[in-house]
Amino acid sequence: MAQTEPMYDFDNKRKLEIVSKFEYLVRQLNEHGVDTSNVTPE
Amino acid sequence: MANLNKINEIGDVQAQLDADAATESLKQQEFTRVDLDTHASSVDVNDKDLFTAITAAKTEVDLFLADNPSEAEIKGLINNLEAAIGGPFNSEEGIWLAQQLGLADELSLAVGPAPAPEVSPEKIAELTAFLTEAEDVLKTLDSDFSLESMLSILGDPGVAEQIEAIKLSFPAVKWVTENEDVMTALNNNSDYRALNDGTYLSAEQVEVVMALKSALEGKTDAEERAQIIAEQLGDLPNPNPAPNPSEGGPVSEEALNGSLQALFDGVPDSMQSMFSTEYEAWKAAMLEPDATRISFNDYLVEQANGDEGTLSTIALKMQLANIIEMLKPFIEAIKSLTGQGTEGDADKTETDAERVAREEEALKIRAAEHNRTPEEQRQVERLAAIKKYFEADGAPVIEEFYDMEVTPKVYSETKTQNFLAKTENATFKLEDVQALETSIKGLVSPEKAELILQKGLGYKTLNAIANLPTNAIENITETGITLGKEGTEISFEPATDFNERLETAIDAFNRAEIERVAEETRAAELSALGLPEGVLENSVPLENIPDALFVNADRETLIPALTSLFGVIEGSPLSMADLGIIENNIAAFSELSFSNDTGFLDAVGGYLDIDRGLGETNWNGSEDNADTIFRVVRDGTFQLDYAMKDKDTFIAWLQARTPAAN
Repeated sequence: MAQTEPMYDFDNKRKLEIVSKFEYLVRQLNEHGVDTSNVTPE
Repeated sequence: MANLNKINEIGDVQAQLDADAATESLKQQEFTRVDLDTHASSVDVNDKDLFTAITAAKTEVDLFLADNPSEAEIKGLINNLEAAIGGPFNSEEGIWLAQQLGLADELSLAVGPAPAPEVSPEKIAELTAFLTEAEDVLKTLDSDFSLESMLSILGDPGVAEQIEAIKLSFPAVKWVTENEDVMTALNNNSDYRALNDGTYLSAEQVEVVMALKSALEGKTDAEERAQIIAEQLGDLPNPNPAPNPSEGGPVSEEALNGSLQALFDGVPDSMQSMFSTEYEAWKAAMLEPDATRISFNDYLVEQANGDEGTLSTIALKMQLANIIEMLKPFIEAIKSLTGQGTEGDADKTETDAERVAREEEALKIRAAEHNRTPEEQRQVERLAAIKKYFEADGAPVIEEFYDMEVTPKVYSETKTQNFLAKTENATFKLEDVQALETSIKGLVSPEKAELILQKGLGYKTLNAIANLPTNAIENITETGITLGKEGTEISFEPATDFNERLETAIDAFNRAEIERVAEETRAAELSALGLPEGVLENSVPLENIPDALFVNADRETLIPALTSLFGVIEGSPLSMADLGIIENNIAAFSELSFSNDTGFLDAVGGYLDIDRGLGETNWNGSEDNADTIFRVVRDGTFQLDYAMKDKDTFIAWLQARTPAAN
């Protein structure tokens, strides 16, 4: 059920930022099994 | 809106994005995406890219959740979320991200004070799947369609919250907020406009509708149009839930050729409700013996008798039913989410009256299917149930239902019919036999119960046995049955008069039981009066008799005087004179002690009888005083005289004389 109309006060660019970073962090979490909250994408 | 500068962790990325934001491409919503890993490639940020990124993130989240994370690990996940958005997880951005990833529930569970809804992941998945499938259909509904009004038609209040959630999930659908009446909206569509749209009919219905549209083209004569419509609608399948068209049309060939129940059940509830009068009439017609089966659709068309207005209404109602049926799984899902109960719950609340009505209805259907009246059907089913019961392994062998002349004894339908035909058995039910069997099995050991139940005893005898107290059956052997400790065995053989002999024994046992209970009662009563045990049957020492029994007017005991008297006369022949009745004031005693009974004393042999004057007049005018109450024997013992008409009378008399009673 993809969103076809903007419902939030932030745009696709911002959404992509958030999602991408989160995906990276969770991947780290999955791979290392530790709290990676302070890990930077680099 | 979140402050982008707070996201320090991706500073380089941020700088690049800020730079991009200043460009014309940003205004056109075509963003440059910087790859977080390489910082090199750039692509347009459109819906598709975003969707891909969300999918990737969701894959990671699913992987994470699949490992059954601990609470601490979930907190780590939240930290990640907050790191990604650079702010609290319950901010606008956090909520958006959690929703995209299906994490809202988990976050509430781990952190939020707000309780998570009690909805299983399976149910969420089920609802989501349905809504996704139904989305295209929902989109096709025009602005006159109101979900609220649909729900209100189905009598389903209290789901506003869910409706709002659904609206948010399907922003592309234009929802109507006013609670309009759907029928009104549909009826405004004259000339089958809505029907011809075919947008929310099943594939088969669309086909029929298109054919109808084509057939009506250029036809202006009302009669001719009605004829065409009647023919076309006769082929229109009943409404069928749109999400599951593969389940088959309700009025299928199988239903027409199968059971009437299937035919009736095939008409959706919404149709039954909207055409309630017609539905009942159709069912009644189908229940007639030798009725020709037709579908409910055909019946409606037939009843319309070519009237175009009626046919129009039928068509419109069918559309409405179609929509309602389409939404039913959806409604059920909402109900289960809101805990409003399901159809299963509705069954539980069925009243006895409703159950009886349902069973009667089902009986009528079965009767019609066999061209019988309901009463004939009831009898046939009753006999079939009895036969099935008695022909099962281990069934009780009962004389009235078995052929007793053959070996082994076999169930006889003829004997059963004869039994049922008797007036006194009019209320007989199979449940009665089953209860009898259960009672006997509860009365004795399984082995002994089988002995009784397999002997071919009469129904009345078995009932008598079943109703015996648990302590009645003293013994059961291969040869007979003994009732009560003092009873003798009633032989099973010869079988011809066994029932009679057993009934006699049961009667005797019951009488003995009644007497035993009465004796116990008397003993308790005598004990309460202070009389010694055995006073009713045996001689007891006079000194054991309560003083209260022999008192004068001053309530002084006379027992010492009586004892003394017998001491004086011991060894002497007894006569009134010898006893010195007058001298010893026995007469006074008599008068005082039996003042209400006109007591008499009489010495007979070795006894002093104390009689109760009955106050009756004999044939010669004398008073009848023959009723001895008790006697005092010369050896100083007390005996209740058996001339008393019964012991209960004596006890009652005695009770009336006790100081407590007086």
